[in-house]
Amino acid sequence: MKYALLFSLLVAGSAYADLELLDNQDMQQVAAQGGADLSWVLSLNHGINADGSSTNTLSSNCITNYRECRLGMSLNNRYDDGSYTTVNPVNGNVTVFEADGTSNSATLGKKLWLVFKGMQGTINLQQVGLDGADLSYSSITGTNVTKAAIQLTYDPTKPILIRNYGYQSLSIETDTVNNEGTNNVPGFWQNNTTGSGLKKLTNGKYDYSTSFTVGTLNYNNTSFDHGREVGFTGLNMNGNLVLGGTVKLFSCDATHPRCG
Amino acid sequence: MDLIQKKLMIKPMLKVSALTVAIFMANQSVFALQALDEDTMRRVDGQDGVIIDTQYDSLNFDRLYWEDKAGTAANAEVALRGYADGVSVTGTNLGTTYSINAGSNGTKTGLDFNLTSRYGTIKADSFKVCDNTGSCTGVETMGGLTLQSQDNLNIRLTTTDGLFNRDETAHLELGIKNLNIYLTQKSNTLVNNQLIAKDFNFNFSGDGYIWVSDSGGFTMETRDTGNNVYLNRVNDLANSGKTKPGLNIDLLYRGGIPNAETDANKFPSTLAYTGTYPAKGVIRVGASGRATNASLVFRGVNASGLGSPANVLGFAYAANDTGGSGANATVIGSTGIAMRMKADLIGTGADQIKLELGHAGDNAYGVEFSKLSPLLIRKDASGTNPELTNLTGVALNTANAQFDTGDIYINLANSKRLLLPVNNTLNNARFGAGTGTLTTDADYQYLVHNAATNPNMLVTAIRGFNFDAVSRAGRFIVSNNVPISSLDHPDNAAYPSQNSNTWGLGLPIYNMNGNIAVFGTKVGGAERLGLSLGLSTQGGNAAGDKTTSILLIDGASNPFDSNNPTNYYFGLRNIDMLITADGTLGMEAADRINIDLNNILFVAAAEMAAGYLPGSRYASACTPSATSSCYAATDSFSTITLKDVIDGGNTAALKAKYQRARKDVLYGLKLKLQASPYVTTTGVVTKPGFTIALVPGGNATLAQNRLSFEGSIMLKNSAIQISDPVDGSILGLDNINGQANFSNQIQVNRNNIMLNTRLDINKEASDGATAANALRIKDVNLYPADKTTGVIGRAQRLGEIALTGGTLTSRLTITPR
Repeated sequence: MKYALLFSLLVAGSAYADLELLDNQDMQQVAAQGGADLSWVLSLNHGINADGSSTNTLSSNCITNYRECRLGMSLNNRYDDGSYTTVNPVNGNVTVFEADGTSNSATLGKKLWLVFKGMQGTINLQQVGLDGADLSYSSITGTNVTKAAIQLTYDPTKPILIRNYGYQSLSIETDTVNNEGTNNVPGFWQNNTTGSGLKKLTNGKYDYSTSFTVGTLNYNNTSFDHGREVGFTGLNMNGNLVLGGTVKLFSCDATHPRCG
Repeated sequence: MDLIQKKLMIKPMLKVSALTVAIFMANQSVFALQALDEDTMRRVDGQDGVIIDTQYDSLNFDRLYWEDKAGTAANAEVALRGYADGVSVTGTNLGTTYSINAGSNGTKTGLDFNLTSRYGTIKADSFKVCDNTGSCTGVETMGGLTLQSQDNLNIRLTTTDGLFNRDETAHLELGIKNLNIYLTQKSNTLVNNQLIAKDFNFNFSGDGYIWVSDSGGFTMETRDTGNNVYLNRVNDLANSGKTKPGLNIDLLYRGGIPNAETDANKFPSTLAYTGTYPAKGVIRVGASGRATNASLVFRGVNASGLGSPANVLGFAYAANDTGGSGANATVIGSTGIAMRMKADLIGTGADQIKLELGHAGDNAYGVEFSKLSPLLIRKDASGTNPELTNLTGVALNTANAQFDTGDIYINLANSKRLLLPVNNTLNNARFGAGTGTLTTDADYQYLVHNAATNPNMLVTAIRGFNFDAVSRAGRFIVSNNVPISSLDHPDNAAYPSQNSNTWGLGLPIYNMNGNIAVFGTKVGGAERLGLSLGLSTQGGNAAGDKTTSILLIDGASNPFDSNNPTNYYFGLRNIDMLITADGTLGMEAADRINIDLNNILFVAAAEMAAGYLPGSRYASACTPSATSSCYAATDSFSTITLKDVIDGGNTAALKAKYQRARKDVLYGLKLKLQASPYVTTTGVVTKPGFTIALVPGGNATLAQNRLSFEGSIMLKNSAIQISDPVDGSILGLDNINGQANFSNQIQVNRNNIMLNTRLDINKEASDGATAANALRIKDVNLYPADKTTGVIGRAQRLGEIALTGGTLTSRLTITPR
């Protein structure tokens, strides 16, 4: 009897090994035939080829009209002069304060913006399997909970293609008029022509076309920063992200230890 | 044989000689002897019957009208008339054959009435709504309407006792088959552009009870369980041996036809997809199959003296936007038409209901949905055990999917505003700083037009539309012209996996209310259709057996449930929605239908969710034992809120119900989208807030056939909010303003659906990119919830985000397995 049991376990083991040989695609077809495969290309500010695919490089619109390819973020109560507002939690009334805490005829200053310039990127999810699957966890009270989840299946042979994803420069910009008054140019729309030397800007871009020397370094129109939008850092990501296995998305309701 | 055969020869356009009559008579009798069709058989069988045969070469009417009374803001009724001007009936062998036979079984006398009409082409040059003087000064046409028959119209009524008897069964057939319907509008250069319903079918037959009463109007109902109604498929005239659905609405667009063209070219007997004026497919919907427990009611309406909202469309508003009141101020007035149709849709067997949705015309892919069932897979028979705990082998819910049009009201009206029933969920949903809500009562008394005087309109209102059905089997289909031997055909044996029929789509609709108002207008000299739309849906009910949702359903067989479908679902559920818009629809260009909306408001609150349809058996062995909770709760779609639980005394039963309703919810989603007319930097209104054009791709090849939506939007104070599924706290992207152009395509292929999106932000045509038109999320807010009161708190502002412009493109392909 013991041998019979051992034998059956061995058979089970070899059957398992056979199943392993099935590729991911086969597994999906066996396990959940009712699902779907998704392929999704998402592209921001990249050119479009005639066949609808992405050129994976910055579009001509963003090269010419570079102000249009920005993302600006302004955190609440960030003004150049330290002014701020408070909201009465009971009646919702808004009060404006100067930086020194006085509210008498206080006005808000110029908004500060964190501006990502030259935003771009193409992400190509070549294939993702979308299925329903069961999920089981121990609830906050210790009982077992079974629920349905969205199961995303990634195929390692079809990596996620990430192309020229990022931004060219990041800078902090300021509005031109207090409290967004008349004729204000918002921080995210700045293209100043100011400064000299290393800080010389023409239409929001570093301008070293008139060459100059700082210390031993000569700056001219072949220098790295020349012709780039003002800012202090950039980010550019290229790569193939290989994912294998599955991700389950499910509702984290009040029975879950993390969400209860 | 005492057969009475009576022939009426009506020839208004011809002088008839005795010889002609004789030849016609001779021809008729020869015809009757030779062709033993159904008509002829009945002529022989019906020994005491009457056959009336009318024939004519053509008919012409200067004007036909329908009169309806409407209330006005001045509390005085007016009579309005819908005029069809320049009506003609042309064709060959026109006429109608009536055959009436009476029979008796001793105590009861039944009647067999059979009508076959050969009606050729019926054309009305223009359709207008004017006052009852007949003077249509200043009233523009909605366009011309043409009905082109390719098949005879059949109506047959067979009764068992009398004509309209409430207590005895009758059989009714109504066959409108392969009818082409053209709506023609002229551009400012008189170029004709057409929206065409090609091969329109409404091929109905049914058994039941038919009667007429003072209170209920005309009623037909199946009543007995054995009685059914059918939408029978109709032979496709162009593709022998193939059929089209019994209800077939195949919408095509055909443009650029000079006014000087002959009628034969304007309304060709065969629509071409290539050549000079090619027809291009817009969209096709179809339905066929069997329904039971059905009823159909036609009746008159009198809203005079009723208060709001009992008077359905509210009180009329004058052009200066002052509202009326009083007995004679209702929008509907003292007369009107109402109808209601409902049925249980059969979801199993060979004659089950199948719905078709796809591209139109030839060379068109589509999707067919079948296996319709109601939302609840199982019911809680005890009423106290929605989780079906400690039960084994609970029977499936055997009820059928249900369809109910609710009350449909058709009226002529004169008002600046119309009323929709208020949606309380949206009226109570927190939005914006302070104590604002997503909608207020004023949003439901919405604007119909923006003109200086009220146009006379045709208003269709729907109240209480329900479609309690989810489809658990979907299949790609293709138009009849593509042979199955073609590798392009989804049913080609080379691609067997595509028809596994284990995925479906659920579009259940609960308590939908809508108003559509149309009137004739001209913009820049071109005929256009003035258009106003109001539409709302209710998300669901507390019991959780009704819902408005958009769900993808995985119907693969579940070995833990006797191989019944698994019923995983994923999508937006419990959608409370309101759309109001006013503008115009026009067919001005050769290749597109464009809709310009001056104002649009779209508000929705829904839940993104994934789980099992209520009452489904889990697809895995449930623990601790098979006799424990192994089923998805039957009330998992309940709309109960945390506030309901607290208001209800925080009982354990309510808490458990709330937890069951939250089990599947990933997050809550609220949307508010508003557009307002575009004003240039110099203060000139240059275009409507929202323009959208439907651009068909063409039908020359399968690859070409797609539908494109192109347009632009000027967003004002819009919002996207995501909320916590448990306590309801909200992260709001509020106060969104800015301009964007969009170009979206949808294309159904042999085995997949492609959705392409392109969004160009801040690209207004006349002004180009400006700081003011950047897409700005002016308030990113957090709304914390108070867990003790269930009340969503005041907005806590986190900051703001601006997208200055740029292009976002997305290409998504969904390939069901």
